[in-house]
Amino acid sequence: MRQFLIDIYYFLLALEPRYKIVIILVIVLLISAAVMVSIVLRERSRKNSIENRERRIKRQVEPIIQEVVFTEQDASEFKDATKKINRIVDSTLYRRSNMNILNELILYYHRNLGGEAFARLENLYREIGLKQMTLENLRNGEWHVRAKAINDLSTMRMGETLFEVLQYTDADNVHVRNEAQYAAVKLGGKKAMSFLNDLESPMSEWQQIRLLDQSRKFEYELIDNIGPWLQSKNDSVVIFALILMRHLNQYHERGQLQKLLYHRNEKVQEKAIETAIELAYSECIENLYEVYELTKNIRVKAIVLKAMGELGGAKEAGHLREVLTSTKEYELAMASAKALKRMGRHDVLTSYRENELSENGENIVKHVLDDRI
Amino acid sequence: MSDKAKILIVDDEPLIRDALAFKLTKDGYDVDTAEDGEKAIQKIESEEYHIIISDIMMPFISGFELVKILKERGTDAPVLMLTSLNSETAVLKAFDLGADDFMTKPFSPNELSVRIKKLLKNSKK
Repeated sequence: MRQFLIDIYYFLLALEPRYKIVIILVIVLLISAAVMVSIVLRERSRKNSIENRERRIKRQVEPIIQEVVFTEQDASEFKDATKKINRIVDSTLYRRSNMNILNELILYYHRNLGGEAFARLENLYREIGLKQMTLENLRNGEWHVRAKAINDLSTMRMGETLFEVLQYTDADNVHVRNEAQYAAVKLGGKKAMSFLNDLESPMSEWQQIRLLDQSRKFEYELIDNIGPWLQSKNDSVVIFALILMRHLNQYHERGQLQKLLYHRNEKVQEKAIETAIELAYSECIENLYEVYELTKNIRVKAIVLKAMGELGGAKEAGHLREVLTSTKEYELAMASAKALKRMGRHDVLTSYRENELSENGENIVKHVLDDRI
Repeated sequence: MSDKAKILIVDDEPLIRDALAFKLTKDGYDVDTAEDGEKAIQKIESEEYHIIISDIMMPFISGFELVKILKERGTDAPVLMLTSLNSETAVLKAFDLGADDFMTKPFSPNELSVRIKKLLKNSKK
């Protein structure tokens, strides 16, 4: 063997450099391939062993969970069931991993079952120590572990953890913060929304939609805190409060809209005008004239014109007519014409004298009056 | 032959299938399961069922297609659709194709039992 290797060595030494390079490359490639194959095989065997363990635990635990969920059990039977489950998942090396498998299993059942089964699963979740494990994940985990823990606690309706969840509503990590805000509303209802009082981090539009969706159940209840939220230094909180006012018919703070029409943030201005339209707040009509003059933003101007059409009367129809004849901005002319139509003032739209409107203006009026569109 | 009502559960999710089978067996029914529409049709061809509980979103043959096929073949067994789809369109489509009842997930197992009893009672009339 030794002689064979020596022969190969001298054979390689005798070769031209270009052949040496090719041979070295081939050897490197072969070694890399062998390493890769061994890594893949190791990973596959690890994955298989996890899957086997998961299957084994599920096979053993499922009948016990089904018994708990679907049958009437007294306290001692329930205690026996939790003991059995704990025995199955107990392991020196894999306890945490086994508990995670169990956690996913119970969450899956919880997502699919309702009624009494729902409450039984929640009870089981507490008794077998999953709530405790999730709380530990929340306190000590990485950001993704904490976000998942908060999500699990809200899915399993662990109302008693609300206080803990509220600590994360202004967390540095956006995912943890978003999950905590959503969970707070889900677990604590409108009272838990008090986290908005001191919220400093911005709320994304998507997060606002999620929270609105969760808040829909308060539709016929007054949300007392909307007033302070409308005065928040955090513009996203102001916008969210306006969305809540609009979608949940919160009329009691309408008076605050007047001030918000002049807000430094144009998005807030837009939302305030939209809310005024939705809540039929016609008292702000004189302010709308001022806003129209003060703002340079065409979008805001167009929404003001829309609001005039929705909330105004004859005077506003005159203003809209004037804008339609005088403006060079396409969007404003279109907004005026649409507002006049919404007011039912077809008479105004059809009474322009010849050459009073520009060519664009005439086309817009024709377009707006065409009922096929 | 057993006088227990025979129920076929068609769902591609094994956990739901097993849980339903457990619950309905406890309720005193003779329960059989199938993991997709194709297997369900094979079972229905060889056995007679009193009720068929089917999911909608399944591989190969969806729950909608399954109902359609069963009704075209003149199967008498009432079909209860049990699904995560809760849109009005899905409900209307299911009833339009001939489904007899519709439940959305998450579902209450007790409510399911009541509905099954009602369907069995109606089918005996």
